[in-house]
Order: sequence, then C-alpha cells, then structure tokens
Amino acid sequence: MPESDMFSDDLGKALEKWRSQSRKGFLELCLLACVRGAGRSYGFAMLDSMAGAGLDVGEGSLYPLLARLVREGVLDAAWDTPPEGHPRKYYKLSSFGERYLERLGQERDKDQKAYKAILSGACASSERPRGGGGGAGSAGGPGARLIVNYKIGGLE
Amino acid sequence: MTKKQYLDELESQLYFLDEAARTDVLREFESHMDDTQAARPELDEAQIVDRLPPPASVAASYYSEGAERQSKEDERGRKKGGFRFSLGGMERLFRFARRDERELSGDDVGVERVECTLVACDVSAVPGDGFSYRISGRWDDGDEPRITRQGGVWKLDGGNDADSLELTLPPGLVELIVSTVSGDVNASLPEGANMAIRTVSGDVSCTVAGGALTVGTASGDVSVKGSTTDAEVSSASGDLSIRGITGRLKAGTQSGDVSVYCADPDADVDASTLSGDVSVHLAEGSAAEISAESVSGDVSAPGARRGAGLVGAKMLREGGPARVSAKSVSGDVSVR
Repeated sequence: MPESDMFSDDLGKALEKWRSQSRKGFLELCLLACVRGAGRSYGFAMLDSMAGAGLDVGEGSLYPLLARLVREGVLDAAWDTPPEGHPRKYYKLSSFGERYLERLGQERDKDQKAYKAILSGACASSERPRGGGGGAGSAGGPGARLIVNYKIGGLE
Repeated sequence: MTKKQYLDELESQLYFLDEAARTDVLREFESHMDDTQAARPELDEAQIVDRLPPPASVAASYYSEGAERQSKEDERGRKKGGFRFSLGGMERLFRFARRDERELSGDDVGVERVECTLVACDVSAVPGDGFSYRISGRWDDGDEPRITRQGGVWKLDGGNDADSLELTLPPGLVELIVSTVSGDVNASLPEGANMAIRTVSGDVSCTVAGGALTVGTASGDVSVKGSTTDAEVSSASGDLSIRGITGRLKAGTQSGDVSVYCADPDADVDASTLSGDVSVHLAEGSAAEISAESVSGDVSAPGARRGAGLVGAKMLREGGPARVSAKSVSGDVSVR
C-alpha cells in the first residue's frame, strides 16, 4: 500500500509541475480567445465561461495575467458601471492584441500537428531502420507511411 | 475572513505595486466578490471570501507576472538591436541616482515580537542585551520607512527604498517575522525565539536557538543552523541545508537539493524534492524508522531493507520513536 501511495503522490506532484509549466502560455491563448469571443468582458464572466468550456482557472492566475496583458498592450481595460450593477473592469483586445492572438493560434495549431505526428510514430520511424530486423529497407513499412502523414500535416 | 479583512490583507501583500496599481487590483477583487455574490446569492460573505486564493498567493502571482514582463521588455529591446528602458525603470534610476543615503535608527524596551515588511532590503539580525535597529536606504521625504509599535509588537514597513536593515534582538523575544521580495535574510536568534521568513528570491541563512522556524522562498536558498524544535522549510527552486535538527522538520523543495543533519537521535524528519538529491545524516545512536524512496534515482540507507515498489527504489527500516522520510522523484536519496 505505501508503494502505490508514493507513486500516486509523486505522480500527482510531477503532473502538477508539468501543468504549471505547460499551462501558462495556453491559458493566455484561451483567455484572449475568450475575450475576442465576448467582444468585451470582465474577470468573473471570463472565469465563468472558461469553466463552462471545461478550463478551470483560478482568480489568482487570471487577474495578474490580465494586468500583464494590459501592460503589454495586448488588452485594453476600462472601468464601467452597467445600468444595473456595480463597477466592473472591462477588457477588450487592442488591435495589436488581435494580430497577436491570430499568430498565437497559428503557433498552437503547428504544435498540435507536430504532437499528433509524434504520437502516430514520426519519432519511431527514425529508430526502426537502425534496429535492423527482418523487413529492413522495405519502403512500405509503417515508418514511411507516418512520414507521409507528417508531411501532409505540415502542409495544411 | 470578511471581505474587508481579505482586501486589507491583499493590500498589505501588494506592497511592491505603486499606489494606483494597488488600488486598481483591490477594486477589481471587490468587483469580483460582488459578481460572485450576485451569481450565488445563497453564499454568505465568508463563503465568498473562502472561494478566493489566499492574498499572499494572489500577490506572489502579480509579482511573478511583473517580473516576467520586465524580462520580455529587455528581450524585445535586444531583438530590435537597441537598448530600451521602460519609463518606470528610467525614472527609478534617476531618482535613485540623485538621492543620498539616509538612515534611521533607535532602540526600544519591552519588544516581544518584531515584524518587518521589506522589498529589496537585506536583513541581518543578531542577539543582544536589548532591542535596537538601524535601517538605511535612499528614500524621499514622505517615503521613509514606517515604524509602529503596539504593545510588545514592533513593526517596520521598509517601503521601496530601504537597502539594509540591522537588528539587535533582545533576550526573551518571542518571534521575528520577515517578509521580503528580493532581500537576503541573515539572522541569529536569541534563545527560544521563533522565526517566520518569507522571500521571493532572497537567500535565507539563520541560526536558531531552540525555537520554531518557518521559511518559505520561491527561488532563494535556505541554510539553517543551531537547534530547532519544529521547523518547516520550503522552496520552489532553492537548495535547503539544515544542520542541527532536534525536533520535527519538514523540508521540501521542487528542483533544489535537500541536506539535513540531525543533532538529536529522536528527530522526526520529512525531506522531499522533485528533481534534486536528498541526504539525511542521522544523529549517532539513532534507531529511527526509515523510509527512503526515489522514482528514478539511487537510494541508499545502510541497515535498511529494499522495499518492493511499483516503480523506482525504496529502502525501509523499522524503528522509532524517531522517523525519517526522504523522497525524490528523479534525484538520489541517501540516509545514513
């Protein structure tokens, strides 16, 4: 029992570390896409709609990130009080932000395609010919097919 | 915690922001709580506040986003082939250059607790016959460090411009609390005094004489000497070195190394890291119960037997009442 405890405990920690490393840029992309989708939005509404989409974001991450994006000129922010309600800080994409988001989306698509290609064996194909074995040199092996897949992915 | 208490605490934790930025953050969190209340009318004030992360972690997040921005600006400047100052940085540089070094000092009696809130100020503290302080830096009139006293509690808010604080700590001091962003802390405590230190990037070096200790840093290294009855030391990427544990110790880092020397055969030690090495030296004659584990590193613990695990290596030894647990994910672990 302690062994499996240790495993799940450490796996949890390792996952947590990976998540915090990998999520930062992804969160920024999702947040900007969320603001663009809404036209103009405020913190609570962003958290709510991202949670609805399945992405749990904490207030402690969101607001500091919004503050940085405003400083960097990606977002514009202004306080406004709707007819019924309290003052809220509303954010929208600046024109620089629009272009920035478009590029981020392209980068993300590229990474996603590379990951898919790796999953379907783009890396395995480089190892296999060296391993030798029976069917060495046969151009119709799985490696060749996967390289083709990868190239098609890259062209899209 | 009430809304007001949360916002007050957040305000004091955001001391590294300028006034306008800080007020804006507080207004936004207040607005967020109003939105939560409107969306979830069944929640009471305390429940709404409970849903928020602790003010200290919100502030740490603002701090790290700010630091990140600075490095990005530098990078952009370099890419353009030129050198670019941010306006704020330029202004700060000039203000700094034209100001003279100033100093505040004094002493006091009946001080039982010392609380220091600092930004880039180094702290050194030594035990003495009474309480005294000396703080120096380059501050404008109106921005000087603020010192307040309530009963036995002496508080110092160093502001943005203090560089160095020297403290002499009286016998009978109950606790020293220091919070800094980038300052180093070097403290030696009177007998029985407790200490709590929090820094973002400062290094901490302290000598404890029988009190309890809590240290938390993001990237600073921590070195502890002397005897502590109860210590909790944590860091994200710093190395932890603890010499002379006599009671309970919990030492954890993510990517640093942990090194512990026990002074007492009955010490209770919990040392862990994700990617660094862990070494624990037991006191002579210790019959501690040992559990040493690593997922992909080597584990050595003389006298212990190899435990069966799903993954990695594990060494176990029965014993007690002392207990040692040492863990790493990818580093080596040794208990001896």
